[in-house]
Amino acid sequence: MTNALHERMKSQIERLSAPAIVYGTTACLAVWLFVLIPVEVGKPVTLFGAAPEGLHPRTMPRIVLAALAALSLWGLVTSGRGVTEPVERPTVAVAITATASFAFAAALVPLGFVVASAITVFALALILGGRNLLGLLLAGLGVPVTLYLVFTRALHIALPPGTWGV
Amino acid sequence: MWAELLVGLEMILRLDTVLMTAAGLVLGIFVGSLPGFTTVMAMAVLLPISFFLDPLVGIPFLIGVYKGGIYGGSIPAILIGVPGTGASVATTFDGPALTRKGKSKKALEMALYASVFGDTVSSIFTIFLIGPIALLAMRIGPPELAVVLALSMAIIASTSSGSVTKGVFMLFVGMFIALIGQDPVHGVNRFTFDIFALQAGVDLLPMIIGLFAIPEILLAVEGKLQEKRATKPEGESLTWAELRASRRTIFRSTAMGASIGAIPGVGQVVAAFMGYAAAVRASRNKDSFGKGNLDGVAAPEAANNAVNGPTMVPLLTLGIPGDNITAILLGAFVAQGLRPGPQLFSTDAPVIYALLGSMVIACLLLLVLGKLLIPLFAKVVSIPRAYMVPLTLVFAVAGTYVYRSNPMDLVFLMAFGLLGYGARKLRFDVTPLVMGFILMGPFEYAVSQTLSLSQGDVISYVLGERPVTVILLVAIALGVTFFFFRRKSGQSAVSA
Repeated sequence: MTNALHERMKSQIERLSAPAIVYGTTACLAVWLFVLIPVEVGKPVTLFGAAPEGLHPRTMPRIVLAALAALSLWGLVTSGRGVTEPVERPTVAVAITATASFAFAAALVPLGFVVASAITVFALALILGGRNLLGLLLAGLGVPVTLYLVFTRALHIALPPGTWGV
Repeated sequence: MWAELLVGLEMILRLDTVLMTAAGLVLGIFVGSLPGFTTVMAMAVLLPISFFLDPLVGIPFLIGVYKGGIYGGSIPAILIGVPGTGASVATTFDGPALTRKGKSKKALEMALYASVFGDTVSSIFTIFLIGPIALLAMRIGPPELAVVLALSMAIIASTSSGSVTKGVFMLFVGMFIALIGQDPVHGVNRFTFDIFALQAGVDLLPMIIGLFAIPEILLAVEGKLQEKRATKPEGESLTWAELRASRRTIFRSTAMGASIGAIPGVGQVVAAFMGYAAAVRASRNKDSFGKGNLDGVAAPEAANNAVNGPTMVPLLTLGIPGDNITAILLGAFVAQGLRPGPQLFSTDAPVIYALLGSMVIACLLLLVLGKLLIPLFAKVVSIPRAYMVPLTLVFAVAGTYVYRSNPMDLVFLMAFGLLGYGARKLRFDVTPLVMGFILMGPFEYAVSQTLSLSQGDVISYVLGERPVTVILLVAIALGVTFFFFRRKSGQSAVSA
């Protein structure tokens, strides 16, 4: 009985399209944020007992979140209709590039622009199929060093220098 | 108007402006020539450079990237049949056929001349059109502005690629993101969850770079990473007689592109297809299209470049960006302390004319640089993505950081990057999100001012004292209905 229910639920979940999941999640989030409005949106300051003029700070959040929740529910209901377009899953190369983006963003300040860029470009180019040594050196070292010099010397824009000063 | 125009033109005739515009053009053509790398991505990645330059140098630099990118897309479209940008898809109908006939040099030169003509004429048209429109824009008050902003959001959501539901959904997501931080009227914190970094709200720049650059990088990785063979322009140069024979096509496409450019949300792709279709209809030799007709290159190229000038009209007069590219330009304006809108003309009219003048300078430079560098850019087509992808990534991340040296911007960049990638995969257009985010603040402020002016009786105030608002409200209904039915015929904004 439990297994049958589990299988049924699993097949129901598998039949959900990705946009339906997006709409469902957004609808829940919009309702939750709507409920939070009295907590998360303050009241305008009242001076000398006079009511503040213009739009109340809570009005627009209420309108936007109510519309967003309604649209999400509409999207959820209609996304199951018609032919569902297949969604291609991200490839391994995309996952690696996304991870490298996060790693580069995290390493930029502690390692410095040149070192973080050189490591990211060299590693990513190698993973994406770059095998030309000159190309790797040019992209991995030549471009970051040139960019660093152009930004810091010519344009006077500060780039993170890192521990080694570059 | 004439005095400001002359002062503006005088302001723009500077060596550093010309040099940086030329640099922007070269970078734009370079990126446009790379299949899989779009003009939007090039502008998003290069946007931070403009922050550190004088407004009359930084913004012309981005205008150069914009114009160069749109033209550059035609190079791979002609040589290898792969459009460098969305705007050059229609060029692949006849460009590769001309290459197969050994006439790639003629095709590339026709693309260049048609692009420059379309762009120059539409830019000059914009310079003379924008003054009277700005005068009208300066006369509108908060109620009219609120309705115009609502109309723009409605048009952008209903013309986005993907379904209307998805477009409106993304618009409201953008509007909600704009609510985070302090409200524009009373300065009250909203949805900050006691996180200090959220009190100033979400900044436009990490959002733009994240939504437009990171997803393009990931999608470029996802595409086939096969090497393109190196190629070079072949055959004889375009003759004067051949160019004269295409003059009607170029004039027609320029007029169509310039008209389309003034409508928010339509863009270069639609203009190029409409220009091509009109050229086929007007031709006596319809069968030759698709088999290597020079008019088949001239028509889309003149049309897509003619869009460039008039897209600036709603941006500069009302502060409404019509597409992704003008949204990025808006980011550059804001970072430079210039807030596009009706007031900008009363405070900085010469600067606006100077920037519009730089568009004409960029067109003339495009003619020279394009002619000289066509053989070089033909080789760019074959640069492996394995090297370009990591370098673009480095530029996007570092560029975001240098904007304010705030590590929180990198968090926003990556969050919006992933959001943009997911949206592209699930066919949610991010343009309405960006527009909702940009226009929400001015919209809320205009609505608030209207409420204050009406002293509690909005309906009587609008009906009795602001009849233009009522006309504009009717225009919203008509505009949305028009664009809803237009998209049923299969036309929608696509990334350039």
